[in-house]
Amino acid sequence: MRKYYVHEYRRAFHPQAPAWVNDVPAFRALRHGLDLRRPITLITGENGVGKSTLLEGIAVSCGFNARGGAYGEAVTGRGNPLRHAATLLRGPLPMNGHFLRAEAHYEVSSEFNLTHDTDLYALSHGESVLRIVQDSFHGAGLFLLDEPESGLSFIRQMTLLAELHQIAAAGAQLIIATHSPVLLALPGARIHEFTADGGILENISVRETTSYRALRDFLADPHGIADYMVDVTGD
Amino acid sequence: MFLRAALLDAPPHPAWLRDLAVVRALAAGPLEFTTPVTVISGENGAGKSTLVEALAVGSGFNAEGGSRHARMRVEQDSVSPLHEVLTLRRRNAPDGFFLRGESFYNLAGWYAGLDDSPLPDLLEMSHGESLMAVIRRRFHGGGLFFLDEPEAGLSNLRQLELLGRLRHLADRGSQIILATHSPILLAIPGARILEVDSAGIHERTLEDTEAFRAAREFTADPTGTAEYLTS
Repeated sequence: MRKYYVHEYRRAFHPQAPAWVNDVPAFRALRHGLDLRRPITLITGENGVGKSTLLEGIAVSCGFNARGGAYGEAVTGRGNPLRHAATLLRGPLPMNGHFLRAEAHYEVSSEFNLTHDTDLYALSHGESVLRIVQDSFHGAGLFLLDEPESGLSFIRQMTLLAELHQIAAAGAQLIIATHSPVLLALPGARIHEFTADGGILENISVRETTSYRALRDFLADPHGIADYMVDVTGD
Repeated sequence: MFLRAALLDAPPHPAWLRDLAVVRALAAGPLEFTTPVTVISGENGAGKSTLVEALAVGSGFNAEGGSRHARMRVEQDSVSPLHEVLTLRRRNAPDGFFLRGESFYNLAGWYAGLDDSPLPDLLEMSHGESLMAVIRRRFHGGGLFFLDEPEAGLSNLRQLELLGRLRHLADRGSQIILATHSPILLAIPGARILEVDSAGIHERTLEDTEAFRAAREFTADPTGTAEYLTS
């Protein structure tokens, strides 16, 4: 039996849970618990469903810095406002790993420069994400990635897919929030799509995800769909 | 047109800038902007973002992004000096914005900290929502807009909405210069697509871009492609 770092993330109804959590669709969907016992779990869904909030909740429950970074770095900032809103069931493996946030990545890379030889600013943004994954993600650990596809071309996303697959095959546990149809195709991954109405589509295939279907439909008739979008976005 | 052309005056420093495909192309001749919407695409490392940053900084924008009034502190080593050796044929636009997908979080934080901020609530939204909020509220007609990989953090459906909004912006007299990997944003109707590769900068149709072809090949067989990549 493979061992994991985290087993399940489940909604808690503690009276001190912040009220705004009830407005986050992904947290409403957690009432039945999210089973994370899988080498790779992919979380997808439209902007605003709360993918990043959910990943942050898991990260801070594990002791990662909410701003992202390697496990064991000093935790700063706002603490864990989500600790009363959801409970994380830990697995038997001692915590280690990395929390990579795309949106705050630029900030973290300032610190990364101090400790690594590579000058991340001379790399393009997407390239630097790929470099962090290649240089500091190894076989052991829990790796939480929030939209790691940001700034990467389709071709580079395919490179990232291969890297992530290898890391998971070497024993790591990966939980990834993504819009990328490429990463959603990671072999053996379990995909959960959160919906705006607080629902969850559990264990779906890449072809069933909204992200994949939207791209496929667009590519079938790009000019027709582009013209349609111009029509429907008019004031 | 507010920005009509960019010309390289001298080889830029440091050396890594001279190796960028966009800089080699600029060394061969001026880059002209002939349509209200110009979309620049190309592989990671070709220098798309460096070019858009240099065009924006040369047009008076803060390197971290924002309106021309945004004056947030910028770490010197995070801005390439390419703009120092570029001459821009341009006239001032009455309005504009420089939006960088990469450091949008910093920009949102800066706006949140201003007194009487025009955009006070960006940090209360998710990344994708706040980026769309800036575009809906702050992008108007008659301006000059630079966007560097705005698709970061946006779902495909949001990118489709962005495509429509950018076209309307151009129809209302704005000029848009956009660097992107997104096959969706490459399809903005009427846009001139420039693809950067090691041989230079080329005008392309949507269907001929690397981004579009890679996306089409992948979506035809996602599972098979992924298994091939990991075998």
